[in-house]
Amino acid sequence: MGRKNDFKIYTQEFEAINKKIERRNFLKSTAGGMGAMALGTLLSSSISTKTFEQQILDALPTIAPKAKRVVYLFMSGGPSQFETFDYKPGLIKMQGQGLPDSVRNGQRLTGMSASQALLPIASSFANFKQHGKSNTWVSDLLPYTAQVVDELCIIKSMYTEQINHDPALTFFQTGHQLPGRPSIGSWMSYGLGSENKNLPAFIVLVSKNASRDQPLYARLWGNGFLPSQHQGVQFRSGKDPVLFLNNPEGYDGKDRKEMLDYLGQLNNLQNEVWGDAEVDARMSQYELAFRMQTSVPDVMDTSNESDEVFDLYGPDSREKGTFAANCLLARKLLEKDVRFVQLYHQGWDHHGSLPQGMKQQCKQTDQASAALIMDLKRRGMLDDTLVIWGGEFGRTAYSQGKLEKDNYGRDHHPRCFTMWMAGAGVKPGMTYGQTDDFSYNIVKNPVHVHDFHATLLHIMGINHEQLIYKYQGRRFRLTDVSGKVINDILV
Amino acid sequence: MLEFIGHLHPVIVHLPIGILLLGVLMMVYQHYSKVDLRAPISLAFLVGSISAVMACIAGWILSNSGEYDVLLVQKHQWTGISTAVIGLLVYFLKQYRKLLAVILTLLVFITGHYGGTLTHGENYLFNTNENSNTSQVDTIKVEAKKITQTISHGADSLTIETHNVYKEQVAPILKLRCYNCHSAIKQKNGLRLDGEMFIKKGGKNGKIFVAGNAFKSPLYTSLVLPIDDEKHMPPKGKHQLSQNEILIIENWIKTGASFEDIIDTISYNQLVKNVASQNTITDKNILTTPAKVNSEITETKNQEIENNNSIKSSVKIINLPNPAPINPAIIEDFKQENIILTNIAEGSNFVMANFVNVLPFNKTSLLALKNINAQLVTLKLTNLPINDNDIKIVADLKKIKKLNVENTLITDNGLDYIKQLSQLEQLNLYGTNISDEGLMQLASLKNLSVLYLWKTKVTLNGIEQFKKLNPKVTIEIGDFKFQKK
Repeated sequence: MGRKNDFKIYTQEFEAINKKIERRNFLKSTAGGMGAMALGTLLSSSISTKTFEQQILDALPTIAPKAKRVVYLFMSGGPSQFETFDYKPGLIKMQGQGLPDSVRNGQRLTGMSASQALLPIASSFANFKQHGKSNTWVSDLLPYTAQVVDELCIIKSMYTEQINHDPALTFFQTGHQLPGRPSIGSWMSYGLGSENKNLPAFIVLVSKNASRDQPLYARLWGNGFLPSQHQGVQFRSGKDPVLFLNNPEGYDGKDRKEMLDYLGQLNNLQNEVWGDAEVDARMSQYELAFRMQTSVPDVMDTSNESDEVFDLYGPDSREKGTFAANCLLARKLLEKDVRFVQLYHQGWDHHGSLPQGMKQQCKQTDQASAALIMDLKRRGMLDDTLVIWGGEFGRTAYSQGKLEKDNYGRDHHPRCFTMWMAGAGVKPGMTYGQTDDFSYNIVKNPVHVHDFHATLLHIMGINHEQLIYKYQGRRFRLTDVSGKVINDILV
Repeated sequence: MLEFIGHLHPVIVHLPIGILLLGVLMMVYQHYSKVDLRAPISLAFLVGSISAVMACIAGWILSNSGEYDVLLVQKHQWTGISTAVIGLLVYFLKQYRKLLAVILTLLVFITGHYGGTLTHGENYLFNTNENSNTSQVDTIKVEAKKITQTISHGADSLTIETHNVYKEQVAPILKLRCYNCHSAIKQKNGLRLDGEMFIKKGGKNGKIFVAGNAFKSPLYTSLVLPIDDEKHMPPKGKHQLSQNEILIIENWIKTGASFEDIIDTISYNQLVKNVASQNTITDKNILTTPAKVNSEITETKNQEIENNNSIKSSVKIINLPNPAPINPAIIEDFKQENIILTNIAEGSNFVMANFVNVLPFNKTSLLALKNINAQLVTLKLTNLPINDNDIKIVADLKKIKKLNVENTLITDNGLDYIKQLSQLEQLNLYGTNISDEGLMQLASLKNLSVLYLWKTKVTLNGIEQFKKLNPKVTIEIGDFKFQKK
């Protein structure tokens, strides 16, 4: 008996399962006969039908949510703050000089530039102008974003501990630098559920027109240890937007439905016996997938969009799979009340040839990002939709490799970088936080990745300390054991 | 009924203990006195075993209540079952009776010990150094939930409503779960919890709470330590606090661990009626902190609560008294119709309704909205074939603050009904056939602050006219165009 106990899991969640198993063992090992059996079935109805998950969610002290939906434009690779929003005119005079030790203060560098004899300061090749009523400095590489700058809440003082792509990206998407935790969208799906029952609550779109300098992994939108119906579903631009969704050739939809119904019954039997949350997840996924067979082609079809809309998002938007087309698609998904839409655009990792690279990246993303905001606004959706733009870290003030007038590179820089949010819950036309003259250290209002997560959850009406999931004997949160809500940027 | 049988377990268990042991005693007596007691001995083992089986069944039912430590229950369960089985064997296998009787005696004691541990806790049997004091534990009386004080001054009156989290929520939990060992009767570790003074004083190891910081407060941390931890409270085997009870303690400490009354609302003369009718504190859910109370005037005096931003921002959700919750049967109807109902925030009974899943659209589903007209504040009917006739229903939904009817078939005639919604703050009409004429009708909506009119027949001239009548409305006409670069 002692042996058997070793395999038992003691959480509330599993207590119901343990009870079922104990009951079976009890019935098996006592020659109780039919009388005991009947007793057993009577008892089973008294076992609470509420899942552990439901119990936790019932206990959530929800804050009145300001946003109901999120679209997160993830700029993978680490866009340079110097060529976008963080204007540092003082660097022009210091062009080519070594970065003062008093600025770096012995902080670590990546292995890529740590051995450089000189860390020559590189001023921005881009010109800056003030835009909008808020007089916000924006680089001329972002002419369209500059026109909507009064809608943006720009945070110049983001920071992270991670200095390499994968851990930094994983940290941003899951709150932990090692793989295995649920991503933000999964937490949202878990905490808030889905409004539209015909589409997943968490949808991922990856630009196909980006240069893929750094890889993306499906685990970035994975559910981690949350039940698997909360994982992000990637929509592709090809013939099959969602892989393996359509019926195999020659397979009739009715047959499919019938097959799924019987499969559902079998799964139900398994569920009766084992009570495994993954059986529930599997059943709900099969059912959702079946409904998506009609809802997905419908939502992916942009042929009804007017020329005016395509013009707004820019010429790329007519070509499926581009960042612009994905922004347009994101708007359509949000219109259908999808909870969390995550776009990824790679190619921001400019260790060398930064001017050329930044020009191209900005051209691909600038107009569509701005257009998305204005398109949501005129539809009345910016009131309850939050738009987020940003990468996993920033870039260094000094040039990696040789510094030429029109050609230089910047290395990874986690100690400060810029991102923006717009729409529900955040103050428009605001700039928050401040970096030093070298955009190397933060001098005012630092915002850690955990703080960003806490704020994001807060805007969605969730107290980040309360959204927890018990796994491997401890409680997990998106913000781990940290994070504070940045109230100054909230309306 | 089942529960009742379960509760009989502690009574029934004494039968097998007594009867089986009596059987063993008679065997010993027979051995020495040479009196023939075989018949009564057999009878004792038979009756004892049957009562043991009954105790097992009742115990099994009781264990399903889940109130006991699972591991310990298992040990008790299997030793108990073994006792019943061995008891029967003693009765039937007369040739091995002496050996089996020894085993049986041991089993009775082991089972009994486990059972005792389950009821009295692990340290009960061998812990003798506790001084028992006979004074009554029941020193705290739970105060009335809400204390209303009205100060009159001429025609004006001021009503102050207060409540006390400590007395109402925290003390009852402490009484239930902690007083057994930490009160007048026992003071384990020198700690008493049955009074403000004692709690502030702490125990042998010093203070037990730091106001505002639950994680530095042993009063909280000892509850959430792993159950096997030496410092976990209540000790393993004792009745544990529920998740909700722990949350109450945590919240209380976080919000300053105040023993004072907290002022909920201050209401001035004409508002008294309103406040009296709202069901704010009487059905308080354990997580509802005073700041979440909705009322005409909400003044939270408690500084700690003001500092707690997550609670603070939930204060002004909606400036109306909380309505009664929606009847579960009605919620079920909405589920059947695929209409999503969401509470605007936890603790508020106001709801949002969304028709995004109502496909194909069925006009009769709109009628259901009448059943929730007291609670409905946000209604989303986007992209549905709804015409002026269908929209009549909204005229009855007086509480609506936000209405989405974009991309529907509504025309100026439909606005006749919408303009009756005096509470309306946000109206989305984009993609409808509204014209200037209809727009003018909306000018009478005093609370309106945002109006979406992209892709309608409304002209710039019409908007100008409207602005003259109702200047504070922000109108989005979707005229944004990029300047090409």
